[in-house]
Amino acid sequence: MSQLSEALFTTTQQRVLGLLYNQPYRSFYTKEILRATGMGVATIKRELDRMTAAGLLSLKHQGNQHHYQANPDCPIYNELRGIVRKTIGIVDVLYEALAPLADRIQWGFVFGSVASGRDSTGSDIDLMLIGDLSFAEAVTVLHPAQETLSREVNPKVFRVGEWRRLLAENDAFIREVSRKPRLDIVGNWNEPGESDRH
Amino acid sequence: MSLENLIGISLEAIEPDSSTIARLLAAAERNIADSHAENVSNETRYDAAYKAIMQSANAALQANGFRTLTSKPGHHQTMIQTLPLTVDLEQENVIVLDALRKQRNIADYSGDLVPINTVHECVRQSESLLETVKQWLKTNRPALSIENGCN
Repeated sequence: MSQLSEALFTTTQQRVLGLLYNQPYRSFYTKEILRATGMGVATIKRELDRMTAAGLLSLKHQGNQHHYQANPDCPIYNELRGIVRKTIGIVDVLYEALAPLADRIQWGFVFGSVASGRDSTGSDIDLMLIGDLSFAEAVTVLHPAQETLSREVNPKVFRVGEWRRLLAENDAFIREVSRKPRLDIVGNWNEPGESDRH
Repeated sequence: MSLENLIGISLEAIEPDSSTIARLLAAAERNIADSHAENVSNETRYDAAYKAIMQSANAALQANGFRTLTSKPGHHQTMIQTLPLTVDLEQENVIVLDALRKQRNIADYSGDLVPINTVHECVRQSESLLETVKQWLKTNRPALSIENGCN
């Protein structure tokens, strides 16, 4: 979560809005929300009740399930979607942008100030992409995402073998990146070489 | 946007000089040759190829009768972003060239590594841009073309 979203929303609000306002076209039942946010039932229920009362969320009953959804009739629906996408939703925007190349990316993650939550309004998004793709391919698919996010995206594109070699050599740059916070976008960092998702 | 619109903002008008243009293109050739060296770091190869991009872009600008204003920042960005106007470069190439420019800034100031793929991209772009500029000169400014002066 970024400093911007931290300043604007509580952690619970970030988790709830990040889920419901990033996927505004579907509803989530309470258990799903609990699972996705990883927070306690009382905390989440209180937040859902408050957001529903304010009109940020709509609530529908299906059998004994409570379905919550981003409410398009809310007067600040569009603005809030924009804010969520730019602060909480960076991961989702990048994930979508990278979709055409996803099967050739072993691991992709945001590092630097955005990942560690020290970013401010103009901070660039540092993106690490490890896989079988070219720099030109990466910047071409990421170019439209820069507009969506109103930030520049700077990809570092490493080959898998190159990355492994740098890890083995204990390279200073790679060591620093490995030690600091990351936002995973594609693949998994912890199981290098064992990724079987493709 | 036209080049004339940028006079006083980021550009100034000059009289194109064939020897300056020939010198820039020859320097770009040398830098491209250096960028293929295997016994130096990725960062140095990248720098050489990037320098060649700037020299080709500068030659293109000068051949059109302009140069960047030395009193204003952002010369590199200006030279890259005027390429569609100077030598009809496609916007998709400008996006890649501009991204290469940003990579260089980051690598220079933060000590980040330049991945080998990015070196290759920079070299490929530098070669392709030099070729584009030479072709453009031959077709549109034969009097300034290096082929006329040297061969």
